[in-house]
Amino acid sequence: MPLQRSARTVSVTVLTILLFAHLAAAAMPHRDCHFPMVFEGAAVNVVVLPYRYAGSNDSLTDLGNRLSLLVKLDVLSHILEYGSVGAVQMEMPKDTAKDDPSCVPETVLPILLGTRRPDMTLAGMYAVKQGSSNALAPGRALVLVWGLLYEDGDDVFVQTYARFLRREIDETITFEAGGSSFYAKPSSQLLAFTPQKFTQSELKQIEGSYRRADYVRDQPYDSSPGDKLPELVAKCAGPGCDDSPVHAGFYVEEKRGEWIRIQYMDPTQGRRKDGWIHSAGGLGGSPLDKILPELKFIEGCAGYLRQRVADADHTPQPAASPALAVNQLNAFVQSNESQPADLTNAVALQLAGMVEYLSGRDQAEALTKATDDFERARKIIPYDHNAITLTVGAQVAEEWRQKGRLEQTALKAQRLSAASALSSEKVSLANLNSLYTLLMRSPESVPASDDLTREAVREKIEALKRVAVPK
Amino acid sequence: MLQNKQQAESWIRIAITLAGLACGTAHAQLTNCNDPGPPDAFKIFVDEVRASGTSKSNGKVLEKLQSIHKFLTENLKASSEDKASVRDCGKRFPTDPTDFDSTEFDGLDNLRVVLEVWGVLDDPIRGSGSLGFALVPARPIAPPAVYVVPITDLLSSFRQGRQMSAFAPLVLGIRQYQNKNYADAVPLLCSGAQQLNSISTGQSPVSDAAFRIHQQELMKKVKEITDSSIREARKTPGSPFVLLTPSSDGTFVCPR
Repeated sequence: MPLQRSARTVSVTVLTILLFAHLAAAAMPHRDCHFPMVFEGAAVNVVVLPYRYAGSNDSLTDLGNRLSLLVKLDVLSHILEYGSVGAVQMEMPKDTAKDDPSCVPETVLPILLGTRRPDMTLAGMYAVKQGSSNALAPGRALVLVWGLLYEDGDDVFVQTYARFLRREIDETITFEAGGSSFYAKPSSQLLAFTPQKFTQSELKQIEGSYRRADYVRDQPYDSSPGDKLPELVAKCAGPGCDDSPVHAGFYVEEKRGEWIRIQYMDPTQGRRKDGWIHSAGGLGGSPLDKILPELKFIEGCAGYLRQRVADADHTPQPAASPALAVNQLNAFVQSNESQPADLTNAVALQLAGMVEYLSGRDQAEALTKATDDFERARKIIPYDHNAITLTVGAQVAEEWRQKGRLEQTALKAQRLSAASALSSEKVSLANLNSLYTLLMRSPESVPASDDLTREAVREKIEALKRVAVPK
Repeated sequence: MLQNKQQAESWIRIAITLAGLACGTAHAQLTNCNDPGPPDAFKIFVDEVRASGTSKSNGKVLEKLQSIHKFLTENLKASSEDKASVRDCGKRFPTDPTDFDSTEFDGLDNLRVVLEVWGVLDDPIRGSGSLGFALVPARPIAPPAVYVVPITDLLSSFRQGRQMSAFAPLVLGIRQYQNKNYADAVPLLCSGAQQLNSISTGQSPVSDAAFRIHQQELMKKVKEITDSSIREARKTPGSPFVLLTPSSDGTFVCPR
């Protein structure tokens, strides 16, 4: 009885923010890990899988589910300003085998990317409804978040992983200068964050915060009457259904401090209701993203992706969005300063630089900030061809715009040559060619000691012609 | 013609795999990995994490051992990306680093294993123990290529020391070098060297003297083979490595 199974295993919470005209067309999606979903109208979806426990302690398995809800709600409350974002939290049903692979990213991601279909014969009530979809639409963005819990005596370590992408579009950014173009992308789109320690008292606070966050209240304070989130349920009707509770989908209408006001459909009464969720209550008065600084990365990453989708669609986004994304990414780097050599810091700086460049490519200050961020990232991972190219590309764009010529051209050529050698992509050679073309177009002047002469540039162009273009 | 070549290559691979398995079986110290993975892929073996003889393996300790094993596996997966398949080797476990002798290394090499990792928990309360790494392709260049790193607190050290996964790109780079894929070797060698360097210079450097000596020897060799890889890559007509210029001492180095 597959349908019975799917109904029984329902325990998914789905939240979405669609701060535009989709409210009236809102669907009420219900998914568990066997049936991942995204909101098709949202430019960016953040999908949080349960944090899995490495051992067999049931209480920690519960903790993994609870933490993923808190993570999702906290991220959600900090990305509202971007607009057109969806957030989905998935849970593994309690009676599912521990080694069931349904909730691992290797299983979920292909479904969200549309390269593999879930077994919809089991779907029943999970069948696609208006406003939701199993797979992202082309060009839409996703941040997939998952994690592991490790027990160490009385403490628990939490390690978060994230992958970010847009469907069928790579994350290449183009720097323009004097008719030449330079292409680069973030150095990694899969990140493993530094494990963070939760003490026993913090673990207890998770329980308390979860209980508070799992309610929709009439007013934005914890003592206000309300309904427990799992009881805001759709009752499955039809063959194969049982009486399992199903979390519903919500639309966020307003944010007030740590609270969000949501609207949802109560299917048992067939009417819209609204209420307040304590979405960013943190732990014991401390914001959750202070204990898990990687949430700042995830929030900033959503802002970066929102900017990319808006740019690609040629649609405006809220004016404050770029600054918010940059602040969130920089806050992550600051809070992760105990790991200065970490790849996550480098990628956060790259995303901040890309937002600064894309949102302010006509402003000198934004270009300078972007260049600084890319250079800081390059110093962390100097061997990475994208890190090199992001720095040189931004420097070229900035200098050309401000001075109409390039400085330290020998160093730029040396760095882009290294990027060409370290990369197997033909775009790296094109970048080097763009640099030389631009140098030949530059006004002639007496070169400084760290500049290439025209003759040297000509020689390098000839040398470049002898390099085979990668297939 | 192509089909014949593919068949021949396939048979060679099977023969090599069988030889590797035979080596593993004949060698009594280490049991075979129960999930050695596909023959074509580079592999990272994650062995059992055990409590040392003096500590009792009660439920709590077992949980902790599982945690350490899972942590190792997941971080190696992230650091090797799609370049190597990380395999859970079940109960496989070296009783002593000398178990990794030439025979064992040859067997692993034939199975295309680039790295083998295991752990020992000495004091379950304090969490002290050690992590072992057998860097299979590094054996010819920096023998014995087996590193046992004493750690004060295994899980806490992971928090500070994910650099341990630096070994993954490093061994893959060495392996590419040995396979004469010089252009592919260089980015991996540079990435691994940078990360390995941070183990001894980062905020929580590994202070074990023996490890640091071995690590410095390995770094020196990696520098040499990076230079050699770039020189060899430059010999290929049309290689972009001809665009690089050597440093002031005439050697080719990773970008800084």
